[in-house]
Amino acid sequence: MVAAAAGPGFMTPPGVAFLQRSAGNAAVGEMMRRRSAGSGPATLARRGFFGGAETDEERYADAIEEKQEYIAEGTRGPEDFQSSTGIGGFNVSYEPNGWEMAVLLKGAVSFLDGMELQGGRAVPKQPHANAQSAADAINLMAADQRAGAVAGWQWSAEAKTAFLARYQSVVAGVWSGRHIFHCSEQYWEDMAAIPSVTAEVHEGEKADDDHVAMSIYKVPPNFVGTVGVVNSGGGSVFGIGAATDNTMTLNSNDVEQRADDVLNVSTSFTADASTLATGTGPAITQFAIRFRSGGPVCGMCGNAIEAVGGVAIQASVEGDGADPEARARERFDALSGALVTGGMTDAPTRLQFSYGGVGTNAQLRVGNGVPQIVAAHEAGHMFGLGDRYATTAGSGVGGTGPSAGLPSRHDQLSRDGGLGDAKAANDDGIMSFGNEVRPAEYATFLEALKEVSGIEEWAYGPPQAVVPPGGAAGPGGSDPSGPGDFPVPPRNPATAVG
Amino acid sequence: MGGEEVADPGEALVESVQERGQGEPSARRVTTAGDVLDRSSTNVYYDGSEWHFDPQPLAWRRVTTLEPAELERLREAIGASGFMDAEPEVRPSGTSIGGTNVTWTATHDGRSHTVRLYGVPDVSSPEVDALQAAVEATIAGALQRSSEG
Repeated sequence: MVAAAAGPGFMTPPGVAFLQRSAGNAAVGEMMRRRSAGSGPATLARRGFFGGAETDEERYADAIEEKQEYIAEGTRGPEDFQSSTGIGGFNVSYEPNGWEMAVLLKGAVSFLDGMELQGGRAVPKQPHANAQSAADAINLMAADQRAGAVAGWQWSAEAKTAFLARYQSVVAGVWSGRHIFHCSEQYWEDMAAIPSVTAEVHEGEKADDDHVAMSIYKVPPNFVGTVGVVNSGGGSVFGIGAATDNTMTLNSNDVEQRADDVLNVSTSFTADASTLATGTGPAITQFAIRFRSGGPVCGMCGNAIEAVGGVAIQASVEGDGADPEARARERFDALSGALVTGGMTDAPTRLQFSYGGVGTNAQLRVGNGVPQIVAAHEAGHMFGLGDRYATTAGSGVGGTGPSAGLPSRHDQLSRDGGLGDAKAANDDGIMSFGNEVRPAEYATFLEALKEVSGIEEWAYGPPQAVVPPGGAAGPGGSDPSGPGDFPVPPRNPATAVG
Repeated sequence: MGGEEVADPGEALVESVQERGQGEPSARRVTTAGDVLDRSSTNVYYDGSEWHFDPQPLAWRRVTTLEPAELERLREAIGASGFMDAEPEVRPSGTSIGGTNVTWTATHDGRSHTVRLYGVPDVSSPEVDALQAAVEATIAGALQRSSEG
């Protein structure tokens, strides 16, 4: 290979042999490859003995040439990948010419009826307590009415087909193209990567290349009682096969927005007064704790150990009396005060007033207020992310999330990648209570990109113009020349966690 | 079902508590007096054509009441299930994220025993399964009896 590349006027065979002895085969091979693909013997003649770049111009020319060769070599991957967080798994490839980072999640689905009639008795199969309550209700019915009530808990062929299609649509829609990365290696900054997420799920046994075996319980469309869970087995010896050693459990309605919306809360006021109505106190206190920001608190002094910002909360407040809008503002102040008393110390800065018209009610909306699609949240676990919802005492939230302000499983990875914190908080984020995919939730995609591309230098944000030595744009050193329009993603909002 | 609220939930013969992420805990208790009580923030009912799962304040509510013979059979089932000697904690293999933590407590022959399942449905215990099946069957029988009566 090396000898064949040594043409007339380039290097003599004895010269190549000398270099091989002194610098090694790999170094010489790389030098020859670069020179034969690039500016040729004239350039080499201008350079030092080993052909290495000695000036900024030469380093620039080498970088542009190497980048073009990298792009010309085409798609890297695909390969299965599991994040260093140790959970989930997916397939990834990178196509540098089109900037596409393809993320593929493959799953095999077992459809399970949520309820069965056994000897005329309703027996819940979905494990949530609300399914048990439904079984109780059925068993209280006359025997001839039970089958009709159970029907909504049992799969039909049409429902299975619809679920598979909807799951694929939801995962792709929530996770694709939310942010963009660019290469941060000098003179490669105009090369980018946009994650494009695809899910392929099928009914039946799990194949070797499926990343997850899914069990889906049929429940009525408005069922409340999430059962979403992802289990990662870790693969075999040395973690081999870990990316395809996962199980997931969902409800059939987890491909739609949650029926038990927690991001939108109502409260009410006493008529012709600015005070909260009798009996609303406990709910307001729970709201204050559930959506409070601020990190863990010192048990001795009560001071916050770590500062964590919370998303904005819109308060649409109704008013009454001679000047309803003025009354609404008084009520807003009272509401803000009640939230501070309940533990949301930054309520005055997070709460944003809007006049809701004449009446005695108020609506609180956390972040964008869009209820979560649980299937998209669980897909986040398959992408290696941990829970970010906070299980602070008194919030009414249990589970595997940390207390408010403590790091999630992907917090360190996110911060290392320059994507900001991923601290626990209850907000509209995808790994919390909503669907917003913020930069921190692309931390494992960034990790996968580095792995599959073979390039460590990637950073958040759109591609940059390459500035050649001296500042003038040269070949390949102009504005980004990728596939055309690309989204310029927003950073975490100023009020957001992280 | 929105049953009658009960101020004093009484002494538990057998109880299960479910705690899971992004939701409030719920509990079911069968008392030593035979009351079957639920503590849930969801009111579940069927109106003849649709299911409803409406929010409600957390409180103990009566589901049904067991007759003495049913209660006695349940006591026997607790003993026969093996629950009283079951492993007190069951955790999932691998890394489980988002599962439900379920705690079962039962009393038999003057002794109480608790089993905690971390990460249902990724974990199970045959003794808990046997106890749960017995409890559910007993309650279902009582409900069907009351529907026929």
